Amino acid sequence: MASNGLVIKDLTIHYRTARKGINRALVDINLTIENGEFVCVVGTSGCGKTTLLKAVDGLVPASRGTIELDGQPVRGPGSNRAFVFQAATLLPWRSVTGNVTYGLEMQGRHRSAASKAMVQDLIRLVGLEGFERAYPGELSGGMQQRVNLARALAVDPQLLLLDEPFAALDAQTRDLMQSELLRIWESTHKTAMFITHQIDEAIYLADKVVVMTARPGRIREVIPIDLPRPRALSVKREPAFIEYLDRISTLIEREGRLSGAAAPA
Amino acid sequence: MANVVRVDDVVQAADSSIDEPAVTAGGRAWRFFRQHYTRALGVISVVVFLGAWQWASDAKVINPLFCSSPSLIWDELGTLISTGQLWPNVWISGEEFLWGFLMAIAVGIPLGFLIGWYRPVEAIFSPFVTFLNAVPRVALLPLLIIWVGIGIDLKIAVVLLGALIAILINVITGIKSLDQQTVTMARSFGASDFKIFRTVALPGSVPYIISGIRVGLGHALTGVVVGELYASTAGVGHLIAVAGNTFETNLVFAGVIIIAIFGLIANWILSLLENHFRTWRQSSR
Repeated sequence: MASNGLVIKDLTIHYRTARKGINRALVDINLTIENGEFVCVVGTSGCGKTTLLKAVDGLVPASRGTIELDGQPVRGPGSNRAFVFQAATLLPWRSVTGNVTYGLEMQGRHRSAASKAMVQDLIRLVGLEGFERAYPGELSGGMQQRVNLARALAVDPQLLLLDEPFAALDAQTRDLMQSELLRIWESTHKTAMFITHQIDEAIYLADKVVVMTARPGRIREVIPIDLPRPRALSVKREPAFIEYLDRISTLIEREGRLSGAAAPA
Repeated sequence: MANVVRVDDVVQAADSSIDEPAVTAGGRAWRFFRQHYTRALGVISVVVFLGAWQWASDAKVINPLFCSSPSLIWDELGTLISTGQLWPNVWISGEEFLWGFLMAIAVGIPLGFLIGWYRPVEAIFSPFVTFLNAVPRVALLPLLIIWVGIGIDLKIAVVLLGALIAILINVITGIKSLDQQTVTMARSFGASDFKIFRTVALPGSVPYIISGIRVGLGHALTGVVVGELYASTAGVGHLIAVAGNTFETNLVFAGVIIIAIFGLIANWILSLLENHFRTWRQSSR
């Protein structure tokens, strides 16, 4: 079997809640992400997208099935993966540099001159040069997410896990951040797994889009996105893009109706 | 926590908008008045109060035997200093306060962290914390006397108990109100419990620790005075108790003023500490 990249096999995750008993968040997830690929996962809210991402990071244990990265089973957080959170989750008492260094520091590798230089490079890469000594409270939402992204990139992960990082941003900033993310991704060659509920965002970013269904979360379909790279924002107005948008929207709408009808059960 | 910073920004913005208009002499005087009139009002009200008290006492409107007067209290303070009665008593009270309070801080902060962070530790300690919080510590005085006698140890124990609970409860609240997403973020980078504690929990709960120390300070002062009033052989509270029993109203007031000065100094030291920690929080990268 493929030892390259992320391989998720028959992954099922149950939650035990006090009120509803056992809650099946994810059922029989099978997904392969090859090294260097950009994969987006879309689905209605509550379909377990974030749970899937947290499981890949090792923050949520699998009830059944396996997650392997380059043949190594995932058992907990590791330095070959890094998480970009929906909320920026910056430490308000640390400067931009201090926040970007945070992940490295937790892994005990922040002291070398090389890592200090890399942090500086990353701050430049995400476009925050000149803000090294600024505190999170002085930054806009978009800038905070840039720090969030740089912090994840700083640990030099093989796999970058992004959980709706642009959901809280306004439309213009979101567009800008999407193209920035692609630029950064193309210059770092990381594997990326990106969760979103914005279909256009998924198509614009991804090599393939994973459509999920809700309650319990399953993979409905995996759609390869055959749009040439590098992609300019104008690609969002091209007929091929609109076609993908129609197709995925229809899929999700149908799922929404189905799960909506099944919800009272 | 980002909200706090934003509130600061708003306050700064508001300040600068006040500063903008009118640089004329009249405007400057008006501004000086606006900035300082509350302080002036405070000084005036105290002066008027003391004057009225002195007059009422001199004119025998009120009985000086019961109500004393500012000049009598002043004289009494002078006597206390010249007879050498003041310093030994202040010293004893200070010692009791300091030992009890420092022990409360030394125990309260680490224990609070453990209780707030680890569920089993919370389960073990919370019944006792709840109990001690519910019982007025004064009610434990007779028990404490049986255990440690009426010497300095008694007051240290009262101060310790009073301040400890306040500090504990605040530190526990601080840990519990940490942003869980931030903790998850730290975990995702493989941070150990100790590293999460040092980089997230400790700096994140500094405001709670400070407010715990502030509330504890009040409890500690109360503890010293109540302990000394109830059972003691020395100290400012002892001075007040004896003076009260012998109808020396002037001495009672003098004692109260000494304690007030004591409290003011303690609060002043605390505000220095507060500033120190605020800058430490900002500069710890």
